[in-house]
Amino acid sequence: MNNRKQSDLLFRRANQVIPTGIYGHVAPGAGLPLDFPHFCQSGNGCRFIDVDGKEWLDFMCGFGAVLHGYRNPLIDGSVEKQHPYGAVFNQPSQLMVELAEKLVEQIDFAEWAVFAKNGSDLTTWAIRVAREQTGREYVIKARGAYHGVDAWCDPGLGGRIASDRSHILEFEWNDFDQLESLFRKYSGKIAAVILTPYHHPSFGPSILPIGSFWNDVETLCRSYGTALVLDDVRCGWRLHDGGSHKYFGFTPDLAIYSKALGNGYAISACIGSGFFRAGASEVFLTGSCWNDAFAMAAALACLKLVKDQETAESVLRKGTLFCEQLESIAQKCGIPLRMTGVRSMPYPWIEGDDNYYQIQTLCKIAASYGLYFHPHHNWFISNAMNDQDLEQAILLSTEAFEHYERENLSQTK
Amino acid sequence: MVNETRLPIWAAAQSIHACGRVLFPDRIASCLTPQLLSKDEISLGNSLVFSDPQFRNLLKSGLGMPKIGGLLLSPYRSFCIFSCLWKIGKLYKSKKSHTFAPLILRGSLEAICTYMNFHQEASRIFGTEKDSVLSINISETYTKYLIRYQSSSGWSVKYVEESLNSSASLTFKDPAIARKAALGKLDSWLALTTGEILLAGRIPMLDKFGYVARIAQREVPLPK
Repeated sequence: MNNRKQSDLLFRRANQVIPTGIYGHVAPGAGLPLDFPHFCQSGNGCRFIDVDGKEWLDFMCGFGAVLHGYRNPLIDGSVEKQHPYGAVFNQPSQLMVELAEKLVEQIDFAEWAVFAKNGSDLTTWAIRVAREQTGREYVIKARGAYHGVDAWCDPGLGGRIASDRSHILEFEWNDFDQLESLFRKYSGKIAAVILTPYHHPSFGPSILPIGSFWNDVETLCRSYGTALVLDDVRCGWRLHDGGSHKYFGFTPDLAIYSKALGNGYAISACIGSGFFRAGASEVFLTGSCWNDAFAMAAALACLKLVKDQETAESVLRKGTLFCEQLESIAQKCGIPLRMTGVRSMPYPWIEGDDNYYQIQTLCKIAASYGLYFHPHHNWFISNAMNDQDLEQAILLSTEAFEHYERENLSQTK
Repeated sequence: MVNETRLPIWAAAQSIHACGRVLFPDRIASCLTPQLLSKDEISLGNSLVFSDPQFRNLLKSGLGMPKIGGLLLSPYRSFCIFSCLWKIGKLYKSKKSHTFAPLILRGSLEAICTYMNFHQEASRIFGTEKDSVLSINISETYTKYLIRYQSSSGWSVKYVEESLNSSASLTFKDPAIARKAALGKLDSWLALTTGEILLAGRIPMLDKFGYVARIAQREVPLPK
């Protein structure tokens, strides 16, 4: 078990003044409560140091918020340049216009952009824009998909009333017939279909779109006058530098980005086609610090980086190398591990491990080797990971998987 | 169908009955068999009838007045019931964790299962878990309970001696921790990080279980 003296002390303090100590997807119970640190001290590149001084080789990247590495000098440098001027004023800074222009330039169907702080802010706003534009009530999403913390979609259990989801319909990812039947049943009532580029739920393998799924969805939405909303919050710039719809070859009406857009500086964006500009103009949108010039400076630097460094291709390449080697090591150790989903953000799935006991044990052992492998969430490959980092990750993974194999063997004896 | 207003006392009655079945011979335990009657009344052992408020008083303060008819018709049986309730209440106060924690935990799990069956939101969220089995364990005592769904009886808790496959498991580090948890006195968020509670397996099911357990513990009166 890792030394967690400071982490545990801080957690006790936190628990006194913060309900549950740490909440949401980083709550101890959502990961490995006895193995992962509760608090971090610093990060650099693809590594972070916890409050007990242990260094971790990171495969979660701030749960996807950091694509270009912790403390990326180019991004931090851009923010530093804005420091003398300030972050939040009565009016937005010039950076907001520049950022909107940059997004419209880089994303093929975008004709406008708006900004907020989190993915949830704008997934919720986007479906309201769709409702305003279409005059319809219903929204369709894929069962088990995560779109944020608002009552219409959050994965939690508390604080909900029946009407929160009375106009949300669900279908199984890739089941186009089921989706089509919802359109027929609620004909003329569906404002939007909101989907992630591929299905990446927690607690389950990721599922890529099969066959002509995306084209069929797009055609269906067009024929019914329904908005196709792409929740690209998690995947954005990890699949394609022009948005993940380019990777899968379709065109949405609205798309939402966050996470990698700011590389850790809080910002989200919703972009849209010209047709939805009218709806977007009618749905109220604001937030206390949403015009934050620091985050916008960071986002501008990130957008430059993804072009200059071809980041999406780079993390896909690194992820492919890593996943292939990891699967090979696992196979040698008798672990039927599949790295599912897109290689730049793979989800580890052990065949037959439907209740997650094996992946939990494997990730606990990996944690003791300094590898931050999450058992229930897709991982993220940092573009700061270089050849030496990957080599070390593979070496440590080999040791961890062999350790797991030894433990398994001793238990079966 | 139990309505949600009466669910807390029904869950408490089920919980007491479950404790009674462990503690006393069948003949005596049957005195505690609860039955919900109409007009906001509940009976124990088919003889003593309490109004809902009086039954709640009985649990919370030990002072609850039954309808006089049952007392007069079956004085010995009534005495047995009060005696059993007093003994169970005493166990809840006992600090002998090793001896009584499994029993108190059993009572608590019975109440939670009652909620999983009859609480509208709880039964909804457990609707997708009907093929899952949850094991609740206490280290050191080898106590193992399984919670599972059967179409005939709904969610129920059962003591098992052998280790069986489960979809998820919740293990208390020792009987004292189990006792605190069963009485709603354990900070489960902290306990998770100290190893006083160990979770493994299907975490979403454990999340749901924790959520329903906290609702039940807020609402169900404990015997005193």
